[in-house]
Amino acid sequence: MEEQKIGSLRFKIDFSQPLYEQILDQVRSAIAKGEIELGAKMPSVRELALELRVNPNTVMRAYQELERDGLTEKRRGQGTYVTSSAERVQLFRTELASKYMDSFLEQMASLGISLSEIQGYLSKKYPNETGGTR
Amino acid sequence: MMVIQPIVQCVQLSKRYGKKYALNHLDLSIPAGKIVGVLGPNGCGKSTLFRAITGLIAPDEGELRVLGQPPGWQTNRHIGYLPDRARWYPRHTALQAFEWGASFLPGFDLEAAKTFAAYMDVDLEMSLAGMSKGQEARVMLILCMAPEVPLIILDEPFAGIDFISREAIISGMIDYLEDREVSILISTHDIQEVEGLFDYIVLMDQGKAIWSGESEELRGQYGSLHDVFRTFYKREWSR
Amino acid sequence: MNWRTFRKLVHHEWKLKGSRRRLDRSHTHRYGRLLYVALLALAGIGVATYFAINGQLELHQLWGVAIGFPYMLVVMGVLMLRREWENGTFGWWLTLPYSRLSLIGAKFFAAWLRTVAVSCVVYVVISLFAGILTLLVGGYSAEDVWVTMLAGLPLLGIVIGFSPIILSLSLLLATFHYTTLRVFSPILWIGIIGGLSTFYNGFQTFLPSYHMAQRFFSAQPGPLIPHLGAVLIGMVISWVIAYLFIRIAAYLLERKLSI
Repeated sequence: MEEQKIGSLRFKIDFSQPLYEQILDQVRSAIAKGEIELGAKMPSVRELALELRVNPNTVMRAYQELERDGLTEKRRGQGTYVTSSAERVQLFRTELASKYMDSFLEQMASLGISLSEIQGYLSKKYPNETGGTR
Repeated sequence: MMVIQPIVQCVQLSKRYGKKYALNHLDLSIPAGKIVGVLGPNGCGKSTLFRAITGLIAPDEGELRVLGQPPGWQTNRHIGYLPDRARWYPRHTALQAFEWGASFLPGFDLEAAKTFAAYMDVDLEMSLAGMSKGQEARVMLILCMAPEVPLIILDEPFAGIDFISREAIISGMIDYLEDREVSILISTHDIQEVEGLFDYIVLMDQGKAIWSGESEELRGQYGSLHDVFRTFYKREWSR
Repeated sequence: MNWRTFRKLVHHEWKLKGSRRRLDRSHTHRYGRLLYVALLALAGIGVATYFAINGQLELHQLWGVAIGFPYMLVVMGVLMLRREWENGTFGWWLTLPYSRLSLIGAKFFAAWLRTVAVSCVVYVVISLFAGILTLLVGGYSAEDVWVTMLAGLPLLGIVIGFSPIILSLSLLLATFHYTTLRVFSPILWIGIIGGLSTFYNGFQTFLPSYHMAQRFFSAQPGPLIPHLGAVLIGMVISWVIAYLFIRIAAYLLERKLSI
């Protein structure tokens, strides 16, 4: 599995996993991390499908989902653009982060791991950051 | 909810050659609007199924419906079909091959064919006799894609073709697929580089469909198609 | 299928020549074949000229070449079909959205048109050759040439008129080879070869004779073909049988293909 660069987007597609989710997740995180700038033009469905060697329908479905997220917008006759609203991206980022966090905490809970254990692990993992209360 | 009729439906479909079943009471229903990979080892019945769909051979038993109708020359006007191991008339140039298409295949778009040819690096004035197998395969693929049809059937389109032609053909297909409501059945025993194209998979073995469904579902359950092959056809691999 | 598409199909079949198998042979092989044909033609011309010089050739005997026609027709019919398999194009041909009857019908019609074309060419060549012999060798009169040309017309008329049954039969036999009924193919071939020989023996009486052509220029011209009525009736019957053969071939291609 090798990394492919399309414009300012990077992809790592694993054909043993569902493709739609991989494309969606990887574009989402590129936007959230700011790898692709606000208001920048997205590669066309065709371009992405050609580069990734996947069915254009799959790319199209991922793009539709991104639009529903509010991360991209379609401009008639011009293609798809990343939203120019920083708040929108920020909002999405927090939403996604809390979603990940929730599922993380849920998994930890299912393993019976307490909050202090998690905190201990975190401070070991990030020794230079000031954790806990501010 | 609107019920979309399957593009191909087989009920207990059988075809025998001598005592050997090429299709063995095959039950299969392929939904419309998908890019379908019909996969399996040589002799699993892929080509026989396609030949039955295009009316080349008459099944011995069972029922077969294509686009909701029994197959025959009448339904072939809605199908672009690349036969197994097909070649083209050696004295034709690529342009003459497309003109043949324009003459005999209903809805054939000659301009579209020329555009595909330019996109896939096919020299219109070159004679087929002078082409490599890969170049010939590109011409034949264009003959299947240039008519406006709801169903395209490609039997082993990548067999024995050089890398560059293969890339050109896959690009051509992706380019074609955008903005089109078309069902495509592709049989191949060589899945590398094309597996990302399929959104529906039919796994065949010994004249039967041993698995069929959405390819994302298959990936979720079994991993890449390469792993799928190893799981489903262990028998063949260990031989 | 409309008439225009059928005409295009016939045109496509008419233009189709050669096959991949023969193209794949080496150049020397192909030129070798050409040389072979040229030598055969030269030998024919040489022999005819030799007999003419010795005064042993009557010009109308040049029509003896017509004896090769039925065999040529058989080969033409068979190649017409076999070409699709040799080229690897049968899949394209048989999945065209037209009935098998129109597909095989177009092949039949194109083969018949070729028969007409070859007949015309042969007619012109033999007539010219007769004229040249008269000019160069001597011993022949202008009337001999006219009579020869006249005698050729009904002969080729008979060839063209009876070609449909031979062409359709050879197409049918070639079709058998690609069906589940392949096993019957050899028996049928023995049949056609036997049939052709009988045809030759029995048909002599119906062929136009030189003397009739000669009499055409006399005071009381007679018919050019003996038993003209019988020949015409036979021709019409043969067309009906030819149509049946084509129908059977179409049925075989539709229901009994073995590929």
